[in-house]
Amino acid sequence: MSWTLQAIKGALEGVFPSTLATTGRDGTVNLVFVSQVHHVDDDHVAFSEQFLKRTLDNLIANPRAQAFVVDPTTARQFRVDLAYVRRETEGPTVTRMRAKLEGIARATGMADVFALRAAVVCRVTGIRPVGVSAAPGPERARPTRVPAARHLGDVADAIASAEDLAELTETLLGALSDRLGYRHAALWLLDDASSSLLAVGSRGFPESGIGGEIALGDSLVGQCAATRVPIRISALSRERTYARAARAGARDIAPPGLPDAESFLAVPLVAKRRALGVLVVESRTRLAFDEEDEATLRLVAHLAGASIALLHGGGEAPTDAPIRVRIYEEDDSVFVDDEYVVKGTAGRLLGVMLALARERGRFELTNRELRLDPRSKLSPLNDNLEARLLLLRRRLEERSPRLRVTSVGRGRLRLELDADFTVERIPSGGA
Amino acid sequence: MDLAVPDWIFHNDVLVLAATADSTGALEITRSIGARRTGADRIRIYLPVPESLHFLNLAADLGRVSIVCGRPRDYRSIQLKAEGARPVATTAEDAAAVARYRAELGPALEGAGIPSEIWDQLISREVVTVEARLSSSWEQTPGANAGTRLDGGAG
Repeated sequence: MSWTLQAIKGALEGVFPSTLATTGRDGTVNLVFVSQVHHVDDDHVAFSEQFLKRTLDNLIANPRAQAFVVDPTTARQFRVDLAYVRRETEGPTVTRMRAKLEGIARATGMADVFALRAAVVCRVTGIRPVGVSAAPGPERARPTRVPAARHLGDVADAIASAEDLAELTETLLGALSDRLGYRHAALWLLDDASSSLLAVGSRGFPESGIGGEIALGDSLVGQCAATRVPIRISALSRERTYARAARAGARDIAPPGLPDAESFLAVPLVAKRRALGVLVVESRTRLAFDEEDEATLRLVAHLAGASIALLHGGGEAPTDAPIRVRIYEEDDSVFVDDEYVVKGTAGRLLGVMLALARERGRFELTNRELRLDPRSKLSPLNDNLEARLLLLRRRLEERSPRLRVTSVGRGRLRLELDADFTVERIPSGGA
Repeated sequence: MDLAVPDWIFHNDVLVLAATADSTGALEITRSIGARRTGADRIRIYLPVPESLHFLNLAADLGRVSIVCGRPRDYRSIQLKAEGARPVATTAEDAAAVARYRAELGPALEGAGIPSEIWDQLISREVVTVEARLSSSWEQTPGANAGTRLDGGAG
């Protein structure tokens, strides 16, 4: 039998510690435990680059590697032969890995220690079952939970029938439990004013936790909203400190959650690329949720997000909420409404445009003006300005629906803002 | 050479894995049924067979192994590098150490949130004892000291 990544996906969930071996230029073997083996696609996996400096050096010198993983649902272990492909610092793989890792890290007060620098992407060249586990093991894996279309239809009906947010919350959580079998669930909504998430409904927890609050970016729920990507964990008891820390760090009301949860899945509610909230389900069973659950809940969350946007009048941010721009001077990285947009020269150029808009009320300007402004710090020889501006425009289109840069003719630009704006500059070495 | 190797890595709540490579760069990782220090610079690991046979073949080329010892309950981990790895006869002391490890690791894993019931199915009953000469030890616990050499040698 030829094994595939899809067939061993349970072994990549991190329930049982995995290891990764590489060799250096001199042939010395390096073996490390790895916190995540991320399933990128049918042929690739990625490892989080946290403490893997020697491993990465080795992979660059000699791209061959091997991972050793264990599937706790079938008691099979596998050797996964690998070939190093690349190191990624941004993109969907990094975003998903970072959301999970930093969610746990922030909840445990370890954000400085567990910061994900990059994803180390490897191609799978072979998968071999190990020894006794090559024989069929006990089949403990639960059947994949693919919901019947009629049950999904019932959930969609429940969402569509709600006339206000309270009714939507109740019908959504009820339908999740009754029609899809998610008996422990909570709905969190983003409060723009405080940049935090509030628990507005829950079902199946010892305490409702309604009114519980988590700052955007904090813990797993906050990371899910901040990054707008699902976060799935299959063995929370291995991260038990996460749960304890999450409770210790809560505000006045303990957030909804199972104290002995093993599986956790959070999916963002998104409308017009803006996070509106987070839908969370938990289970006391390890490996209770897989990618099918994730897909099901993404669908439900998108429906709920669209419905909430309609109930709120189109899902736009309140028109009186100023657009918040934060610029880190150390590397000119720019965040708009807490969403990372761009850094480097493109970020610096946006800062100059915003400064000109604030200082002179100028929202239209020419490339020449940007070149001449000393704050742009462009090279007099080859500034590559057009490419930088194209990058900036694209990134704003993707990440910042309320702030745009458009072209209004050859060499002319317009800064378009849907509301007033504030700019906070963080000096080098600042928080 | 008396390496700075903490005692806890030889306790029975620690996962032990070993890796080796031959002169062509072919790699193999295998699980060890515990580890035991048998001298100032000597370590014995217990490799299940038949699943470690390829490992043993590769190790026979250069004799270099890397051993990681990780304690799941607090993520502490150490990497040991060793040379001159070779199979040796399993003594009564070795057999007793392996038996204790087999019996005690499962409950220790459960305490760390790892399903213990699969432990017995992960390993064969037969082991080959491999002895090697320790050459360096490295901190691997996640954190600022990860990658630090423990025995004071050049990193």
